Amino acid sequence: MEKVPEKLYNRWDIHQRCQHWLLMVSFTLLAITGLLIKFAYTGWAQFVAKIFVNFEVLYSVHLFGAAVMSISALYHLTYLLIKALKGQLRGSMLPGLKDLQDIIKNVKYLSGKAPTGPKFAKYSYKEKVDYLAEYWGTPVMILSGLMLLFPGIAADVFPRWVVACAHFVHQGEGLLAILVIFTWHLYVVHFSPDFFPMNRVWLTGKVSREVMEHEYPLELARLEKEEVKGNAKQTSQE
Amino acid sequence: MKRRITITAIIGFGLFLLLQPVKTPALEIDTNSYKASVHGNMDCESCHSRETQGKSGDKLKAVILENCVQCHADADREFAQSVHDGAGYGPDCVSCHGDHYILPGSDPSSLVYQGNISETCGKCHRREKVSFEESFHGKAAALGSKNAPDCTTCHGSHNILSVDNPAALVSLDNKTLLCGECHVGTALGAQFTEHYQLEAKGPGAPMYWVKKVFMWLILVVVGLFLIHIELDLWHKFRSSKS
Repeated sequence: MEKVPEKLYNRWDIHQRCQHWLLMVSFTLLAITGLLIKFAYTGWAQFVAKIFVNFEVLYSVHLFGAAVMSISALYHLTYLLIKALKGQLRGSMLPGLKDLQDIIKNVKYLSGKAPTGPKFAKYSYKEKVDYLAEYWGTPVMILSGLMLLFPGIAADVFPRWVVACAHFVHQGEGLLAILVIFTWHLYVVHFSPDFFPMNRVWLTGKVSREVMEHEYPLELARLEKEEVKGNAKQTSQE
Repeated sequence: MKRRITITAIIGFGLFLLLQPVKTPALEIDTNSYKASVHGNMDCESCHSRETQGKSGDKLKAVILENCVQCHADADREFAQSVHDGAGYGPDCVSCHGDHYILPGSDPSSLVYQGNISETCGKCHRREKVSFEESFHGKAAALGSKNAPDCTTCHGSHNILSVDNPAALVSLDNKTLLCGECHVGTALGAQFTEHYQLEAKGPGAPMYWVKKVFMWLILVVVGLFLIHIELDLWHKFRSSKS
């Protein structure tokens, strides 16, 4: 271990970490119970489902997870709104043309066709993809889930075939989300040799200078420029 | 020479007849299972009465079914008016309830238990069984929900009528009432084909395409992610070597 305390940079404030906790816990509950319901006619699902005593408990856990995930989504939207009103919203998570160029550059770099890779700002395209998948998936799951929870009301508003389709949207999008989290998210923040065993941002909210230099050089440059200007803010900008 | 061929042919044909699979009735009865069944305290002659002697196959069955009715007159009265009776190929008591080891409907091993009834009806109604298992009703039933409907909740049991019969539980006129028993206060689209098939044409087409689109979306998205991960690992492996 180095004796000199390494300089740490704020990346996620306490609200962002809370949102991640809520999302992580609810996603896990929803994924487990959802898969059991989807594959109800397989032996393994009927075996594992016994953990939940009976179907009514299992279904209640699924609805509880849905409520927590909805709360985390509302929490996040409120958070974004307040940040925007304070003028601290830079839109660093929004995808842009640079991300497309970064992907091409990185694929060239990784396949050995270019000497250097792209330089990332606060969030690389890898993280933006994760975030956008969440941003697209959560409303789809909440809306289709509500249609299934209240099929009567849904059938009064839409034709019945739309409600029936919602069932397949819910299953398809759910499976997609689970597979993306299991492959992409777990690789990018856990099993990638860069971060193994894990990127600790979700626990501490802080990033070391070494990681900043390696992963987010443009963000580091921006922060240093602000420090030189003498208006280094303690609050992290999004 | 000709004679030898004839003899061989006759012997061969005889062997062929002998080796025909013979439909043998179950000659051994598991006494313990029988005692545990709902009819366990009845003697053999209650069903295998004097009239069954010397009969086999369909003739034997016909007599035994007459004997079921001796006690189960109510079920017989309902069944006689149902769509299943007199169809020629339709089911009888044994088709759904079994023969020697009939269990009460509340027993999880019973053929008519909530969790098994879709399998029992599905022996003939295969497409309906598939669509039921695809539905949330079916999935909840498979995981043992006591609130989940099974085939009989909507269609009845002994008294099942054709959907075209206005008196049927599932007829267009009665469907709102039927669904309303659980889905209170709503008129779930009565025209909708509940047992739709996931096929490119017909009432299940929209659901079929939604399922297809998501299948491809999953394959493409997860495929691209995996390729990227492989690329990243491959690059790290090469740069660690050099």
